[in-house]
Amino acid sequence: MSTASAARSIGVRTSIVRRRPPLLRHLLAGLRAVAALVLAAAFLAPFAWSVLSSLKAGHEIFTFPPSWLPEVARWGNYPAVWRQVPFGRFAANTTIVTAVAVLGEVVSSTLVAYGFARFRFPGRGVLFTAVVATLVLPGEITLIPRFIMFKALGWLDTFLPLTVPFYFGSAFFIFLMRQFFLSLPIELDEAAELDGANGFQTLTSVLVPLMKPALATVAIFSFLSHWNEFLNPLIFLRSTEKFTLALGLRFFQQAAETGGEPREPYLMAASLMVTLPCIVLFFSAQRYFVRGVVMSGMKY
Amino acid sequence: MLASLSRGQRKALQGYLYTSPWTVGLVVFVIGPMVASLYLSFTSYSITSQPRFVGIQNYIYMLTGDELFWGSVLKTLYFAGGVVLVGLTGSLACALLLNTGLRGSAFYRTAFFIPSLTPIVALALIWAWVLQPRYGVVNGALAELGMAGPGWLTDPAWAIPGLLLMNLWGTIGGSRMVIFLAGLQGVPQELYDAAHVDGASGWQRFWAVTLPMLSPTIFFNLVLGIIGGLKVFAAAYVTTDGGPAYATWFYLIHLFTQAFRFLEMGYASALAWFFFAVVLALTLIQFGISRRWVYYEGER
Amino acid sequence: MAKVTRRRFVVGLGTGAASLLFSACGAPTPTATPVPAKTAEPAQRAGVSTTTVAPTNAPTPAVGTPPAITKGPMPAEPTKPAAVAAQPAAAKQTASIRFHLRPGGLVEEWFRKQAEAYSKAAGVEVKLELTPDAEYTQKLTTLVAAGDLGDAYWSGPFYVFYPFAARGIALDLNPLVKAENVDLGVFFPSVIKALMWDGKLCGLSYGSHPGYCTQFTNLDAYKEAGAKPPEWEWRYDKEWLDALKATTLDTNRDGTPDRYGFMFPYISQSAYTFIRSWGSDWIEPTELKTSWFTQEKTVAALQFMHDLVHKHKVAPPANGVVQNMFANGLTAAWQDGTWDVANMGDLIKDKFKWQAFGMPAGPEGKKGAFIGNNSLSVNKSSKYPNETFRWILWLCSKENGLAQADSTTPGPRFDVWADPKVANNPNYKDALRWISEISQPASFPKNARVTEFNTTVTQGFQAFMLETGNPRAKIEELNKAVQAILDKPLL
Repeated sequence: MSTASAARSIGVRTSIVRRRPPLLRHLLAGLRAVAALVLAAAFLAPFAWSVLSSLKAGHEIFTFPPSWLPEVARWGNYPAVWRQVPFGRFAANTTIVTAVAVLGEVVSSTLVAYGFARFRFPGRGVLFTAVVATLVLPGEITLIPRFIMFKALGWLDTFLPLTVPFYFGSAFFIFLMRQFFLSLPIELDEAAELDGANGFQTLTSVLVPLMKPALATVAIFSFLSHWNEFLNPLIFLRSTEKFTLALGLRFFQQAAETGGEPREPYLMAASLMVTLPCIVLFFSAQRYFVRGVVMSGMKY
Repeated sequence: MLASLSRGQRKALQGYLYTSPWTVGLVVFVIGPMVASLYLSFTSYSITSQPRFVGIQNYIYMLTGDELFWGSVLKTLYFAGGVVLVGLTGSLACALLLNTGLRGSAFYRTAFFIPSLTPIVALALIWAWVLQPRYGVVNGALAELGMAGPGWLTDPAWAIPGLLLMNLWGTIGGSRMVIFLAGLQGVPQELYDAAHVDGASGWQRFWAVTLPMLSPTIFFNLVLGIIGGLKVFAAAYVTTDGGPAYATWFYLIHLFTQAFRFLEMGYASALAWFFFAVVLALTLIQFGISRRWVYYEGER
Repeated sequence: MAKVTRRRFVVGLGTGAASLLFSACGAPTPTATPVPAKTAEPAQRAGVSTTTVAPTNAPTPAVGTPPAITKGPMPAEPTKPAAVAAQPAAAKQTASIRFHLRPGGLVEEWFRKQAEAYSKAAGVEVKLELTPDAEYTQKLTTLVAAGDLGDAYWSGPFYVFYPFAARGIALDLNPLVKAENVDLGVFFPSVIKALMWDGKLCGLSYGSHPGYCTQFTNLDAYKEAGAKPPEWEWRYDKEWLDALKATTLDTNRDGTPDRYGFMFPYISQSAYTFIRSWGSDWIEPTELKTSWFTQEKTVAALQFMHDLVHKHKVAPPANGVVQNMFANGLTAAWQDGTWDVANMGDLIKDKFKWQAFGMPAGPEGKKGAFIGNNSLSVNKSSKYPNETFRWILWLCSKENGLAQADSTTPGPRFDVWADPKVANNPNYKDALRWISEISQPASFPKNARVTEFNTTVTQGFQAFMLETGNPRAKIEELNKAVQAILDKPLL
């Protein structure tokens, strides 16, 4: 498809020619920079507070007037977290579950979304409605039936309920990938077909390379959702040795009746340690979803 | 054998093949528990006893007898409205800002995204500090401006705005923004170039190129934003727990409370299926309307 | 366009195949059954009285935590031939008990140690299954629904204790108490009364407290204001209110005190202390079927709380409460319970001198609050009721009660409170009188809808306390809502 026709099809009017004076452009750029800075500060301030709080002693968290800085930086809070709960064990479990689930979820959701976006078949509408429907029903309500099901399968206290169901695609990602597929021109497929590629080849060699930003997005979200998943491990796991980080974090929530010193700083330290891999991952993966490769694909 | 099929039939067959993981998963993992919960919605079931069939009594009580029901519906609509209006435009604005080739975008993208990574258990603590009525950051800032800040989360009139603030902080730069960013990468540069050559201003390019090309992503975020807003639960669960004086008694808080605190699982199932029917209908209507405004490059 | 090269095709195919393989490997293999291994069906299950797996009622000193509740020798001594015959078989098989509790703090640590010690002493493995506080009911009810509840469970929160007792999930411990010759007299009578449901003993308590009957008091603030520290005979509406007024400070006179005289938590249980001290109750206490929120004395007690906030302005309104007010010196006194005595020092450090006193008496000189139990219950469908019962007994020993006093609350036994460690602590002086003479089991709905009741009361109480126009109307609303719950069938 030619770019000219695309421009026409979306109706860019060509009559008005207006160029911004350079001064205004600089001003706008400056405004944008300031806006970004202000927003970043607003987004990061609570985060900064949690970092500082993780270094405090328990009684310092809620002092009034509030203090940002700890009296002394207690770096020992971090190793203390590892002593108080089997943090390494939780991290290992979470890594395994996340890796296995993400692989299945991304691959299967991509395949299914491809099927929905590129092929016509009777029942497609109904099946896709089912995708959306599963997003709508509150999950708590199927918890007990699901528990009974996994018990019958003998899957309780294993990682299977946390991973296997995602090998059948998940609604959120199927829907998202479908949207991305639908924004790629169908001509790509047709050309591939003319070149003798079958459907799977078209997917892997033509469409997927064009969808790296979308795939990176899906992979990251999938990672985050499994890394932070709370309800499923809570209900389906039994032994502490199999717990995940999200569950372990709850161990640090203050419950006065369980005794001991205030645990807020440990909660903060633990939650930062849980978050850190996500931040690193996001930071390093973002180049994939910002440098689009769509251009090269459009050039035939 | 395949050769004997028409092109359309082969396409349909492929469609079934690619979507088959979803179909299988639906049958194996999803439908059973859903049907079970639908059945339970017609029973009186206190979890610890056997379900007893009561017909549509739960539904009648819900619509006519439950004093908290309609209040929870209104509060949920209030919250969801805020999330969709402010959240969606905010995420889009942030994505556009980050897409302008700002210096240090990698940092800003991560900074904007970090709030969405905050574990829910840490959220309560952080926001107790930010929204603290007397010494909190927000009210501190308001005091600088000579305004007396309200009792966020502790004053019934301000509890929902407080939760909205919390939600928006955590989601504006989160997955919605990233999906927008990925969508923006999918807008071919050629279209901008063509529009530029045609002399369109920045604003015109936004309306004529960006928005239509982004419409599949906008549609996705709108649909998911509405569903997510209506399913508001976690933020209220960890901070206000429905209070003060029922001020944040959202639909899912009501449902969860009925299910796992009052142990009225039958009634909670009825609440869930009512929610399901209404929200699914709403979503399908959006799909219908979307044909008028969502532009799919890959559809014909 | 990009060409479909052979390499790409192979890579693509490989990825697909690998994922298929993966999903196949992850697929169900029912061999991974996690259900507790079925050990040989114990021979001694004929009846509760034939206890064969003797947990040696005198654990070795090395273990250091003798339960020692039972009077005299345990019935499993080799006097009974039948039991002796069963002994060898029973000794080989090791019972394994699943025990549900909440994680965190010293309590978890303590349970862990006890489980090890008990395993060594009794040869019974105890597996701890931890579920966070907030999700505890959700998890346990799910387990109940699926028939997967473990042998013993922490039933501390009343939202677990009552429904499980009412639904017959908790085993009646009375027969076991008799069979094992357990002396319940070591516990405060009100504690045992609070563990009963329909004449059944539905648990034992390892940590009990007399409710929200404690006022943590900032002694420096009182001294500074020239007020005497609270005394046992003080009345709410007299000496106590005067002290509150004296200790409330508004230095800049902006109407918002820098320091309040008093603060109570905005929850149902704190109000309950006032209601009972006014000589009333929230539900009619014998039939447990009628709301008493519009009873004259109940209204008077609630109105008094309302006045503390809105008329006397000595306590913060619901929308002015901040975290750790007491520890930060923002209130001179704070209504709480004995469970915070052990930790208060960590929060306050050396900011000011403090002490825990009992709450004052109502206008007619009455005092009242409820008994809170950190109870443990046995699942009625447990395969090992005897072993499980002994595990619970073990946890309710005097030694363990004393250990609890280090972290939370000294507990349900006379001998724990009589121990110098507790008896000499001034913060427990009033609390002992409360737990032994004053606090009584809470009046909860006959239909066991305790959580529903409690949630409704808390939300309604908040609404009442926030209302400045017509607070009485809010009480009427609450009364109606509570009565509607009481009128429902058994949960």
